Amino acid sequence: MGALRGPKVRSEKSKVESSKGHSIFFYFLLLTCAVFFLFPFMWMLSTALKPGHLLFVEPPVWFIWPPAWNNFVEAWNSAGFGRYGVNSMWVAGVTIIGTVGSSSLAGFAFATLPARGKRLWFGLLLATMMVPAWATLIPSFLLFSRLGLTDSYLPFVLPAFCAPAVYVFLFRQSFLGLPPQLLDAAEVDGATPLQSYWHIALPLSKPVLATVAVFAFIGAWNDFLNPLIYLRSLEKYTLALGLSFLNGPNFQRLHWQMAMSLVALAPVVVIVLVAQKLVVNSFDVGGIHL
Amino acid sequence: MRNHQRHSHRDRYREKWFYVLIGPWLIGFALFQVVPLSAGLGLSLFDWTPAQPLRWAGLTQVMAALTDPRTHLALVNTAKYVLGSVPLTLGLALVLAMSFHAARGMPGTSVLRTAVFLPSVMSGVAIAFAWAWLFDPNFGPVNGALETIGIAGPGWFKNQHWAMPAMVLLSAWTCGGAMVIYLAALQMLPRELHEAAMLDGAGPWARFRSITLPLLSPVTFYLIVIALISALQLFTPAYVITRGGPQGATLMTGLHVYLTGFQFGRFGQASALSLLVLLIALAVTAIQFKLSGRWVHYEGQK
Repeated sequence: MGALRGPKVRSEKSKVESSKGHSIFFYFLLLTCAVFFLFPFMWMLSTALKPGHLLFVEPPVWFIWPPAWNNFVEAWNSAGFGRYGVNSMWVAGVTIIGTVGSSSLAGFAFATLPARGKRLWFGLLLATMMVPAWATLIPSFLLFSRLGLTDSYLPFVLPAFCAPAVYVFLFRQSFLGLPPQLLDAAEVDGATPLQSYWHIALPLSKPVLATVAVFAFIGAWNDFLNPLIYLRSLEKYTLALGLSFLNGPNFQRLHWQMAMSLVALAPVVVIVLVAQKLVVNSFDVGGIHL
Repeated sequence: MRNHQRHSHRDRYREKWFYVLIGPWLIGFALFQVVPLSAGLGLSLFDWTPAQPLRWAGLTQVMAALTDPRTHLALVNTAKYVLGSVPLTLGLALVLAMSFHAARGMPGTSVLRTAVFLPSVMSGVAIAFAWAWLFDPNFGPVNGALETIGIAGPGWFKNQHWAMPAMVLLSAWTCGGAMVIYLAALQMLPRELHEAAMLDGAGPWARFRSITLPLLSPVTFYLIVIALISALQLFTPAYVITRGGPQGATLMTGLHVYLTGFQFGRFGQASALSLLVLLIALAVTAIQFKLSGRWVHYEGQK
């Protein structure tokens, strides 16, 4: 912070100038930081495009021409990555539908409908946000395996349809901002709460809908623990799980490992870039004033 | 009288709808919270392997979980991780957020912000791979760079003493989520306070200490609560990169529960452990809320 110390501010003009100087200083500081934050991705790409015999050399080789694009093809064909990718897409897609549907309904109820016991349920909802997933993981696994439901996506897709607490909270915060006159008018006209939800609340809440969809996708796509404990058959593996097998103490094909890692990261990068504004602004919506 | 009845009819109608709409959540709450938590309590008291019938075990599994030296190791390692990663991550996030705030309006800042933010939504196997390879003792670019300035880099994930610092650095790389939250909060701070303090001759450091930091304290509090809970659950990098090694240096609570259950098949003990993790999470959260009154400043607080 020492760099903040500029010449003592006296006149209005010098204040403006010095703040411009500050901006430029911070701009270059951030430029440097951004390079550091992107550095690991560049190293991944560099490795993914290297021929195998240049992986383990000192000092590291960064660029090699022509790039070994073939690494991607070989890595892709080394296991059923096409199948794993389709599985991951399917799991993520179903998770999005379940999460957005169930949590927006519950969020609408918490935001607009009075009921006895509402405070209690809302307190419990907030409390479940503090319960680590580990607390329920082992018994859930044993219950699902007793029911013969392991080696399927059900154990981790089903909870998405039961309104995950964080997203209920996000939707509630957003629906609290709906103009009450609009909802009252709809009620006078004989609309049921479900109709108000569908015709008023949802169309006015597209940003939060998209935000929850993006986060539900990222969560499902990145999930490693659930597929690891629940899935057994190769043909059901998700991308994250399949990827994790390109590893081991004697695994030498790091160019394959990096190539497939980049493939696994790509959809998330694309979505973050497309939904940049939404994702970044979503942090204004909820959670901070707990 | 009639009006009153109509009113209560409307109340009942809306109440009915309330319960219909939160129905999925209520079912999920019962099926995925209440049932597993009660079952977990039962499991801690019974010997329960997937293939065999239940056998009463009393407190033996709870005692086994509590006296297991690996439990102590996991708790100590998690504490080390928290003490390293929380100040580093939040400090870096705050410095970056303030820099972005100062450089706002400059061309391309949104691109830079995305660059910093990206790693935070990519927690996963791919990121763990990248980090392990980046910090490879012999062929990774980190030690390569250290060598060019005459430092012999450590073994990082292959060295008992350097594996945890490397794990902490990985968490710092994912500070973008916290940074974005700080940035949103900074943009909402009232400007008048800063301007008044400037007129009174307060320097940048004094303004930071006595205005910015207290006004951001609710956000900091929130971020610390979340960071502690996620540290107790941290799994993927520890599993993928080190499996808890070398010599247990990166064995943390999440991985310990997993290994106890799924690798050693001691599900009862693992269940007792996960309840222990839950109790710790609740206790730590409660303590934080208790302490928060001393340092968290809420604006317009009654």
